[in-house]
Amino acid sequence: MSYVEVARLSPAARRRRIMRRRFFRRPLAVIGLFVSLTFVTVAVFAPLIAPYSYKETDFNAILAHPSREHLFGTDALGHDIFSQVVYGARASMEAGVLATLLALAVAVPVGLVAGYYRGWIDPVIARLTDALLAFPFLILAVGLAAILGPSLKNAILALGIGAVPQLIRIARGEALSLREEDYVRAAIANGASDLTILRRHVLPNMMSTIIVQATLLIPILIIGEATLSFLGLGVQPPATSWGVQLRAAQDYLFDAPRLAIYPGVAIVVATLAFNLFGDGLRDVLDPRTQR
Amino acid sequence: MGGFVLRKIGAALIVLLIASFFVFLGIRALPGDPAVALGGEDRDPQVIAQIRHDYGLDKPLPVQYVRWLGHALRGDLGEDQRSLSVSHTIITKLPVTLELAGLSVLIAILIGIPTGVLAAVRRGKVTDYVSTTIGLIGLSVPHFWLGLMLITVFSVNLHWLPAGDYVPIAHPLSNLEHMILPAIVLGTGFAAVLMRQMRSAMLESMGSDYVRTARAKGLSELKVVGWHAFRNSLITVTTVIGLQLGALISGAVITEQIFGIAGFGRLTIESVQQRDYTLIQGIVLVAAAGYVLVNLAVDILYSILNPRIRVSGRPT
Repeated sequence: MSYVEVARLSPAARRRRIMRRRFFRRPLAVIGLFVSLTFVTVAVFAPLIAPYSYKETDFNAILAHPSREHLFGTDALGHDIFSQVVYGARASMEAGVLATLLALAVAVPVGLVAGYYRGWIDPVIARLTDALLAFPFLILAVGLAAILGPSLKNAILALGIGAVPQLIRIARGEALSLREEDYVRAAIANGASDLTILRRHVLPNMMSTIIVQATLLIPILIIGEATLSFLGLGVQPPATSWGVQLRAAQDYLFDAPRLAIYPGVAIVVATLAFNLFGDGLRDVLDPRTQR
Repeated sequence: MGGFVLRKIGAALIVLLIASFFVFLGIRALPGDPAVALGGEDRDPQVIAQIRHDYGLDKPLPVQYVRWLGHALRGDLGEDQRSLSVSHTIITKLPVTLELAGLSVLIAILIGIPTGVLAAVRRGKVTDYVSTTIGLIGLSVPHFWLGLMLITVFSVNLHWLPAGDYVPIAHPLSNLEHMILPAIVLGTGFAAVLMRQMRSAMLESMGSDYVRTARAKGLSELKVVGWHAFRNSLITVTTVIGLQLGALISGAVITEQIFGIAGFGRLTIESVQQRDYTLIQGIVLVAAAGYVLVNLAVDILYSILNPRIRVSGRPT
């Protein structure tokens, strides 16, 4: 029965099935995927999960210890910390995912053009990318955030732009090597248009590398958002994010270190989850790093 | 070899030139008239026009750029809002950050290289899983949070180490006492990166022909791993240290901010908070130049260490 089923599968479907099996054989990667999805779910359904609004202040419970009413206690303004951490997931996931998508949308086409067409355009793009890479990521992001003004939207823009040069380099490298593949040469010989070749042969074959890079970029950008917000260049109170919460917690390290612990642990767990997931994906999808 | 080095230097110069252009354009793209900003309270159109003329702001952009670059090449990065020389400010702050970076790299090497080797040698065993997982955790902990936690534990609760400030290196012991926590904060993330790179470089060289030959010759495992595989992996990892410099500078920015160390990183944040654009411009330019020059040095060092490049003159 199962033999018949396997035989009916297309080669691509069979490959996907093998990949899926390989992935699910890695417990750490599966845990990473599960926890990442949990964070995304928490971010999406934050208003349903959080017992209080992130803005709600309880002046009868300032810096209160954890209790049944306030699971993680309250902060100096009487905010419920658990609710704050839940809402904080929103800014982090938004920043991680949206900034990654933004970086991809810019970097992949540019890298494709540079690597596929070569000619004069390639060295120009390569040098420009090198020059952009010379700016340390955080300095670039801080500079951009300062120019654009502090807000979550601008932090996402700054982080996304900051991640572009690195991704261009990867996309370009992939396009450069795929261009030499026999099937691409065959397609050229068959008279396929550039657009068709890029869409049908080059782009699909670089997707696995790009997906791995994107997954590993998300945790970097989650930390990036937290850092910008911590410096006061990202999310602005009363809106909240883990970085904003840590910024406020700085003044209470002696009286209430838990204020710094909960959002910090949230960042570490979320980042670690995406890193585990990305590492597992890379092991499965990227043949060069197969161990 | 000589040609390779010359080509690398040429490429680095071009990159620096483009980077300087980005810096120049970035600041010019800002909203607001710099002449008005420089005029401060004085809104008299005549004064503004005079300032515009004095600073060459009435000239076309390319002329302004060449002028600015010419000054920058002679070490003159202009004056900040308080009329202090930007170059002087940066030069006085740099050594502090260099010390912090040096200590962090030292910590990173001491932790990252041995654990990376160990993980590769014990591949697939418990040691490997434990060290790779700890490495991944190291990558997932934001610098500033680790800093806050270390301050909470070692400064606020245990009173073992000071929570911040900087003591000049003239008092070595006190200086080290103040630098140790920041260096740990900055060094651990880097250690994680080094460990992962070292592990994969070791795995690659341990699967290579020369290691098989060494084994076939009957060399002891210690000699095979310690001499052949390790030495060749170190060459690969050298380049990582150069490429990670950007991350190190980024990390220094936030670490100095948390520990109140008045170095290059803190200067960056201050300049951004004060919207002191001449200062920001100088800082970003110096950071980019440092990155390009260090990577040039690493490239050249790599070509000296790696015989394949030395002979053929091109990277393999």
